[in-house]
Amino acid sequence: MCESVCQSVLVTGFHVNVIGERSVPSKVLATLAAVALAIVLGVVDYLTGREWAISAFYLLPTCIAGWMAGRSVGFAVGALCAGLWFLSDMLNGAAYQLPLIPVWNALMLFIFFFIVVWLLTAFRSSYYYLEQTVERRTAALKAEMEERKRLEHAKLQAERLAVVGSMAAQVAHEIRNPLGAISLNLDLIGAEVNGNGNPYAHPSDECHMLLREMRLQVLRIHQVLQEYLRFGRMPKSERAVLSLNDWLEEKLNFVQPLLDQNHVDLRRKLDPDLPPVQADGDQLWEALLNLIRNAVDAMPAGGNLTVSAKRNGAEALVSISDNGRGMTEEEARNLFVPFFTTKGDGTGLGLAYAQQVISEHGGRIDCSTARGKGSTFSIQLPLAVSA
Amino acid sequence: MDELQDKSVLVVDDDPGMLRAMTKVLANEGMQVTGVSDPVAVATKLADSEKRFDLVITDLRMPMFSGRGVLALASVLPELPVIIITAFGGPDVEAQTLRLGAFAFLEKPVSAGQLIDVVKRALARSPIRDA
Repeated sequence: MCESVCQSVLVTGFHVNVIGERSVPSKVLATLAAVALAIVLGVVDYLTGREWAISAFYLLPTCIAGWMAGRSVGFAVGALCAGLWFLSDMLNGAAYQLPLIPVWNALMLFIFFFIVVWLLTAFRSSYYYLEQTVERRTAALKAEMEERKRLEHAKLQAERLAVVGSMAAQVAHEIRNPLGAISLNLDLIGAEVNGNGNPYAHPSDECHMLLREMRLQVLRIHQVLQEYLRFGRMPKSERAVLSLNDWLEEKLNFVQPLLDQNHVDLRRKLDPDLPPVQADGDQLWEALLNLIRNAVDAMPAGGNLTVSAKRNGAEALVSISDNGRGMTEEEARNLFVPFFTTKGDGTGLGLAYAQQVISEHGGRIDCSTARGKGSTFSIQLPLAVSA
Repeated sequence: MDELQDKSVLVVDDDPGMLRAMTKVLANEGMQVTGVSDPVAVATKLADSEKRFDLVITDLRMPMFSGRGVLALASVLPELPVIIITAFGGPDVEAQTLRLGAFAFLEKPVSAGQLIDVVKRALARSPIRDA
């Protein structure tokens, strides 16, 4: 029996499990109480004599037994009550015209109790069935509402990303025109200070340094713009069947120098039986590279980076874990919000881009993090149909 | 510098800063540069039989007349390479303009070195992608 069915809750002093079936001790207790009450009623019936008609009170222990301990016990207690009533009648010196009348009365009482117990237990079953159905449907409704909420949130996020992307692209384009002129003018100034080929020109080191600094700044703006544009004009993914293991092996080899340079130890846990996925390798790699770069940044003094891939039902689960500084609650909450960044030189688009790519592939990306312990990004991608 | 000496180039860009900078860079290489910021004037310049251009460099997104229009006009004159240089690029746009006959596609910002290099290739009629 499943755990939820066995779980008990306290209802009016008796333990009742979620499908309405009481525990054995509760049943025994209810049966003993009903039997005791029936005996007390029998004694009272005998002591009060035939003038006091208390047969209707026998209904009480019968109903208690039927409701609390089930139909069979209800029938048994009903029979006991009918018997006690008959016995009390006989011991009081019954004087009927026909000797079978007390038996007939007891039988009628038992038939009446039988019908009451039957109806009562039937009502109880339907009551619990109804309760169970309501509970089940409430849970299903709740799950559906949560799923709908998640989808609406994802849709809102996608729409927001689309607007942000389009705006970012527009702004980036507008900046590129003056930046183009600045870049060319810097080269012209460079040629000018070098005397335009005049071997006797001796520009100062300071002049060279300033020019170099300005070129670097132009390059920096250019790179930021490229990132905005990459985000804003992400083409529709061109998916093909991709063996994640081979692909990850190849791509991780590519980033090995970056990891070595940052004293990051890479651990691969790739399930050899992982079926392929349907994915755009280039886009997926850009998304993953963002996660790997973030992991490296989170471990400034080096650390461990674990990349794992395994099957999880009809999906492939790729995890990227680091044992870096982890994130605060606020950072974790705003992780995928465009332009949110904790890095001085970040654009805040890396993770938003990763989420957009994964979402475009019909997958999901989640993050679990603990301050001071590290973070794990989990990507779920649907397996290729043939898998 | 000699390869570019006295070569005639038509530069079309509605952004005056960019136009000035490109004109200056190319003029410093000894080229005869005609700068046009009004794209509508391109047709007149290209139709001028007195003036024969060796190369056209054009922006893509301009008011009234786009770089694609410049490309279409230039395609009438065989052997006239056209370089597109734009702030509104992207892989799709690049593929489209190259299909329309552009010699090369550059996204702003470019350095003087890059610009001169592409201009040299265009004048040598060696497709940039095969270089």
